[in-house]
Amino acid sequence: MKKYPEDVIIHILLRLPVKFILRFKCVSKTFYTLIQSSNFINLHFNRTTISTYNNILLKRSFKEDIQRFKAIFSFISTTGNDNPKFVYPDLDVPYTISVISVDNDLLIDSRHGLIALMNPETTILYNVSTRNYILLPPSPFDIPKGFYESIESGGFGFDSVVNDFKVFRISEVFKEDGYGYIEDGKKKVEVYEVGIDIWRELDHVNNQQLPTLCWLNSSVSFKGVYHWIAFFEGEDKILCLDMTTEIFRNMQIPDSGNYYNGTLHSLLLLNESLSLLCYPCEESLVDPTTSLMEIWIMKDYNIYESWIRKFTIIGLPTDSPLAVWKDYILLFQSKSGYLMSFDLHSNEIKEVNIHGCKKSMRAINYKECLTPIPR
Amino acid sequence: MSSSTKFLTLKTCDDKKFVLDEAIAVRSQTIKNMVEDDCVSNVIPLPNVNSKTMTKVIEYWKKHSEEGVSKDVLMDFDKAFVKVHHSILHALILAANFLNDKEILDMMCQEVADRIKGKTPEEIRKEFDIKNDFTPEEEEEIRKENAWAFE
Repeated sequence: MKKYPEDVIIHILLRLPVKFILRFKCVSKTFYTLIQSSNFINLHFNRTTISTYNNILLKRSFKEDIQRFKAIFSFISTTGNDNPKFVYPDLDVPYTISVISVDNDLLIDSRHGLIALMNPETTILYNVSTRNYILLPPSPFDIPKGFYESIESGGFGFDSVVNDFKVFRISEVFKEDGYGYIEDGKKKVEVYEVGIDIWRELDHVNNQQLPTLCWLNSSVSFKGVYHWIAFFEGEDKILCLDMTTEIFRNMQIPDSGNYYNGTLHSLLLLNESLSLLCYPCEESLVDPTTSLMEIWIMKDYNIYESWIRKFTIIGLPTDSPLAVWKDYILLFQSKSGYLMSFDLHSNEIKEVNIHGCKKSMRAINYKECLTPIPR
Repeated sequence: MSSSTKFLTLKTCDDKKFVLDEAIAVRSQTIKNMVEDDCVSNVIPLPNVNSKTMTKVIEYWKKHSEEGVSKDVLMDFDKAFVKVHHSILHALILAANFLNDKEILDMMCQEVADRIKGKTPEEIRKEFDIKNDFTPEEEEEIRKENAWAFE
């Protein structure tokens, strides 16, 4: 029997779940070299053979004992109209046993194969498909004596020019006057380049252009730019940080919502576009039958005029939207801690039998990939 | 159109000849290139394909060229088409690769992937006729690196 040529072997391997690709590394030296090669990893990342973003990575937390919480990743998928189900056993997330809180995690998709799980103290980079991860070393920069540091937010993405992943941390360094008021507040932005394992400080940060960020403000990595919802002198805007130039700018959001007690904004990705969710603050949910939620899409990136209102939803009782799955299922966590799905077309709302500590859930769309953690 | 129908003769490695409508035969990118480059004489030799395999390929081409066949019928046809013995599947993949028919190749590779999912490396070596050139220590090392993938 004639053997398959290498390109046929590649065709076949590309159609396997990552678990089996990794398993078949030990078939032979040829297989091993092939599967490790950057060519194969790229082919695999860009494959179109399976519906690429059908899976959801869900992070949730559990109480381990009275004082300690731990985080786990769940892999959820669905076929057709079936209920969501687990595709792999849950994964314990290392370094995430926390005694403080469970609702402080950011789950960030670099859109380039790796994800980051971040809280103000630790950052873990993960390829959840291969189960590889690293814990980031702490930033080595000290703050001057007598000063305090408050970490405001973080970001994570891929710089396609230097071909490396970057982690950002934004903080405020300040002094307190005799009465406990903040004085001499200065923004500090630190960058960690994963491939070369180096922390450095951005020196061109200008105080005026950086608004105040809150740790849990919604953020998303998209098109080589990191985006945060931020509060600029009286209104929400999108703060943008270019992964390559490391320069900040901002983008206007559409005039929307304007709910009685204030409007909350969340960023997400929908139809491969940057999208915005507008919904009322929890307190203003007096009448759930009239509360609105709007989803806006910026059809052409960075063009204000291209914002269009895609969905208007009446009476969705949530203040914790997680992600939009398959471009039409809005996932959120219910007040009692269950994962909920909301069909944006049919307005059908379902409880998924998946539970976690209140406010502990985070979700991203993910596709399996072999992307190695550089270094 | 029928007045201008052109026929091509394909000759397989076991010297069998197949006369086929050109419009159907050009589903093979390899044949299409030959036709476009005008280097088709009377007979197109297919040195890598035997007649048994070619019969299957032509069966597929004809079904997928028929007019008025519903999607469901085609899906059922495809489903049955891939349910063949290992050796035929193997021959079809090599033929599709040589003929450069991406549709058949994709479908067949998916079938192989579905069949080998969950198998052990040892079974894969048998399936693909590959010699294990790792020492036991080397193999153990790679297994350890990705232990979870062997659960």
